[in-house]
Amino acid sequence: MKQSRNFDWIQKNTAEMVDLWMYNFVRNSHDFLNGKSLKKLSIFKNKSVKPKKSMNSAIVIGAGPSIRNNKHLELLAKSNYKGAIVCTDRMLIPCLKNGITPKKFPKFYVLTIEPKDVTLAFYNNPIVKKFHNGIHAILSTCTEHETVEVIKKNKLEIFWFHPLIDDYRKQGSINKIMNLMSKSKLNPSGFPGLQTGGNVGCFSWIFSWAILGCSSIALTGIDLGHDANTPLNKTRHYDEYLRIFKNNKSELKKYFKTIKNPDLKVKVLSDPIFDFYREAFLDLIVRSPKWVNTVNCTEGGSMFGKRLKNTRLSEFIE
Amino acid sequence: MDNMPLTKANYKLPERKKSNEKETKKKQKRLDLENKRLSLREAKGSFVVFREKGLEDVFVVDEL
Repeated sequence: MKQSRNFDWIQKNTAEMVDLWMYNFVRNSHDFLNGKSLKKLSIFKNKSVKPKKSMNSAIVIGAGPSIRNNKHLELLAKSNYKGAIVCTDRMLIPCLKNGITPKKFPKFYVLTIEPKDVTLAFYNNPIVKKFHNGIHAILSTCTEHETVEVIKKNKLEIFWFHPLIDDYRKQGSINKIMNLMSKSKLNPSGFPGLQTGGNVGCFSWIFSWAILGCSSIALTGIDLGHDANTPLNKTRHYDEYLRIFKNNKSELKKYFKTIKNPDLKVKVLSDPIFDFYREAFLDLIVRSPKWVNTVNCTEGGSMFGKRLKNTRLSEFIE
Repeated sequence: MDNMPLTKANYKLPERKKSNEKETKKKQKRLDLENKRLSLREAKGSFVVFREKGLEDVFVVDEL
């Protein structure tokens, strides 16, 4: 696939974070050597299971502004939805506070791929410990170690995987070495490697079908952009761009663009980081197996394209 | 004049449009500058997107 200039730029700079990934990986080694593999949750571990259209469904909960604007948490909490709740880490506490708990929705998963310390706050709340029973925490082996400590303290059940970062067929591949270091009596072949799509929202979608085997997946809160009228200083990556452009606000402004979502007839404000995620996510949707049906229930945002159907969340959970 | 042999010296070559070339050069210079500036900056995502040649459709690797 042809990649945009923004894609290459962000991808290259992100790859430079390998130091941080390895720093976290080593500090997590004691935990994952004695931990459970994500493979345990995979319905495909039994080779006789063949994916098909009629398999279960999942709702991915992202942290985009549409989730609040459309009151999707309240809607879901009141529903009798029987499928899986696949919650991005940032949304764990808001979900629990709104009544989306593992008690009401027994198939409850929370996922983390972010290597930075921002994730600590996503788990550091008494409500997490209160509802710990039944929460499956899906963690990258490169998660910040202090976050892992908080997750353990709150008694969530952890399942480990490696984020795919390089060509594992080659000698000296970082992924290959990571897995060699992960082998233990509990997990003699180490952990599975998974495509993350670069962000936890996309990874939640991949996890839903590639591990849980859900054939129908609703995306909520996956805006990958802001409302077109949002002031730039209120946007998600503003501080990062301000630093990059040395406080030059007029230069910074050039890197924001407005996308028209023709499916929803809304305008969305985007920046290079959101563009990077959006481009990758839409490409992966096209590459997913034919039995995967992706439904965008965000009711806002910049996601539109091939094999992505737009529906209201209320219709999906009926 | 009619019997004059046709040589490089007396053959009048059609003139090339120079303006386009100048415009292209200018655009390329601007593009190089933009790329250079972009490479100096450091916007980062949370993780890379796994995109290796021949592995574009790989989502899960059971045994690395």
